[in-house]
Amino acid sequence: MYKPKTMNKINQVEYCGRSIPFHEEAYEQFNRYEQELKEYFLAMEDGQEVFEDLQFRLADMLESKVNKSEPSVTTDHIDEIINAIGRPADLSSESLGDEDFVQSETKSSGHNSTESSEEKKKLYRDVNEKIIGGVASGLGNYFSMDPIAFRVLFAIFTIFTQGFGLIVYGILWVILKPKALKQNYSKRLYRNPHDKVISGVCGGLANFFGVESWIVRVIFLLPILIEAISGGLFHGASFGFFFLTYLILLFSTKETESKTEEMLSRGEGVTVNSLSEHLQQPNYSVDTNSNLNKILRIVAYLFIAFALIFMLAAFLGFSFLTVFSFPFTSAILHTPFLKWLAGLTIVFFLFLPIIAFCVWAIRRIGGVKGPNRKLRLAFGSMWGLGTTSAILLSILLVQQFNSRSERSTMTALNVTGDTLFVKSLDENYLNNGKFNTSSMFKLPYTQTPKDHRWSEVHFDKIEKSGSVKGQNPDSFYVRVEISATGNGRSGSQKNASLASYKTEFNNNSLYLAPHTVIPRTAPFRFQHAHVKLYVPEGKYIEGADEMGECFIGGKRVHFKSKKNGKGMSIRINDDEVYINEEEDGDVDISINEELEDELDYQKEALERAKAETKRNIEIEKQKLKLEMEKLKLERLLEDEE
Amino acid sequence: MKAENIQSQMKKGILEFCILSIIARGEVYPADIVVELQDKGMPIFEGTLYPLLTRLKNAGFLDYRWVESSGGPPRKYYAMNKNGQEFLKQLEGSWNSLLAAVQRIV
Repeated sequence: MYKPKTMNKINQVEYCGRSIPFHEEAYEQFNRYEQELKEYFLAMEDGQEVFEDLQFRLADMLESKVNKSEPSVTTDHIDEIINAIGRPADLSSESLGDEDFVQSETKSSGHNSTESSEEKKKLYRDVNEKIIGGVASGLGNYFSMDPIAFRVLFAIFTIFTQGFGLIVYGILWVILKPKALKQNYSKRLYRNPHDKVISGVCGGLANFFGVESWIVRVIFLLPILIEAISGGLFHGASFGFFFLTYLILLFSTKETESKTEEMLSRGEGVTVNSLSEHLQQPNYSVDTNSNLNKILRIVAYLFIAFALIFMLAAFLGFSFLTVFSFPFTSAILHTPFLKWLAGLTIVFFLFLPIIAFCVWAIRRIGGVKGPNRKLRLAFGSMWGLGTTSAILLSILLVQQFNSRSERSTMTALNVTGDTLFVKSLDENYLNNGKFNTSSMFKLPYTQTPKDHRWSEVHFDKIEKSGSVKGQNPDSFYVRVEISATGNGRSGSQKNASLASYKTEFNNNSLYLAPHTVIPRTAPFRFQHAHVKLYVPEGKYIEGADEMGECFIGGKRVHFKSKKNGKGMSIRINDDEVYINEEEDGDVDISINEELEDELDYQKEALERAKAETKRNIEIEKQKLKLEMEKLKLERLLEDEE
Repeated sequence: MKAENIQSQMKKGILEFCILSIIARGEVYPADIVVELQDKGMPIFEGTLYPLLTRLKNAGFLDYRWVESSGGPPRKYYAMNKNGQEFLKQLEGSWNSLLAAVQRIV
């Protein structure tokens, strides 16, 4: 059967990378037209570029024709296209005298030419759209993606690898060559000003991924809910992660400003039709008055406020705690003025630089450029205040300790018999169970509502009576010396007089307090007591276990109670010190010391072993009990069955 | 001398000013510029617009980027940069004085 030529076949033609179905005739017409355009434009300066752009436009038009009404391009379509773009004759009449202008303009502007396609395949740093070094933007260009993705990746990677991301970034920054790149991705992440609760980040994300914005919001709020329900199971880690992500997105995206950007944020192509459609829509506005939105807004603000407060409080609280919860801080910083100075020092001298750095970083991330004089002035003056407080505080504090004074009292002890017994006055305050020893884990310090107790008591010397003028050589003496520092001689004397040290004597026993007492109203200035005993020649001093150790005649001696006639006493004879382990026979100090240590060690080991056995027996008992219970239960179950 | 020639000269002088004004409002696809001009009563061929845009771009007044479109070839979008904004300001100045002068005369 004869087919008329008009019913011609359809050719699938590759054009600008698109496959377009043409009627044969239409294709011929199109080819002729394109050739005309080519000749016309190639005669012009920069005509090549113009012609290439036009080819893309032609492809766009052809494709839109096919999409709409008919499955293939017809000659009518080509006519429409020609009418829109114009024939060379029309164009030359419309742009009469154009050529001279074109040539002079382009020659003077030098070349600003576009990069060729092969250059696009290389990885560069983008100097056009950079925030720090343009690495993320360059990566985005390379992968034809929104650089925001790489920015967020870098930020999160850095946070979770404790800075390793920065190293990677730095290396890329150094390696990659800088270049002014053009954007080549179609979808952009913007913040959505029409759908925002806080800043539109969630709305923008929703647009980007094509989901409802409430879904994104719930995802962001989920960590709070989880934390709230689980009672802080994850210690705010997940919460911090989402919060950081939100902040990063907030500072690295901008709001859509035009309809075009709005559509780009959804990855839509922008055409006249689509644009006008959107313009006719009443801004698809969110009803900001709806209750749900109000609640969301409140929750979101709480979320941010909570996170911010949490982070700041953690920093600030830590520094305040270390300073102000230290037991005798208030005793050292005894006036409100000093406390204020310390507070100002912490906040403005130590903490402010951290805040300033955060502000700087946020501004940098946010792309805010140029110095802000107001900010600088504010931070500068605050830091000045902090520095002044710090200097003033240190001067005032150093002053408080620049002098040292002592006051002492000597008391004769009316001992009947040969031996003076020395014991601790208050066993509750013994440090580590011993007198005059401080341990790593317990400060030599305790408090009562009335006073501070500083358990640094130096019971460190025993001498022969009569070695001090005015002493009766046949009498026991105790000498207590309280020393203190202070501002100048008068200050230190005053501080020493404020502190007190308690001794009691009855029934041949001398009780020594294990601490020096400083009233709460007085400042703490290292007030502490030195205790010295004087023994008449030929008489004995016997120390209780808890008295720990003492220097006698330049040698260290551990005290030991006498039990059942065995134990230790100290005697001074002819300026020689004798330590009696038993009733008879003097023992050399050094040997005695070793034996004492060995014995102590063995005893301790024994005690430990005993305690261990006891504990094991307890555990066994518990196990047996449990077994019994189990058996009982099983029997009960069997009975029921 | 033909009236047509003068008319096209007049139009040509104004055309770049109009195009720059449209682009100044935000990133735009050339076809949209044509539509706007047509709607406002200044129809031109796209074939006229493209060389103009290229020239303005190469003169450093415009930036562009390729945008991948769904179901079509990539599109070249134009946006105004700082140079362009300054340039447009100058043009606006001379346009306003020219307009005032012409209105006083005609």
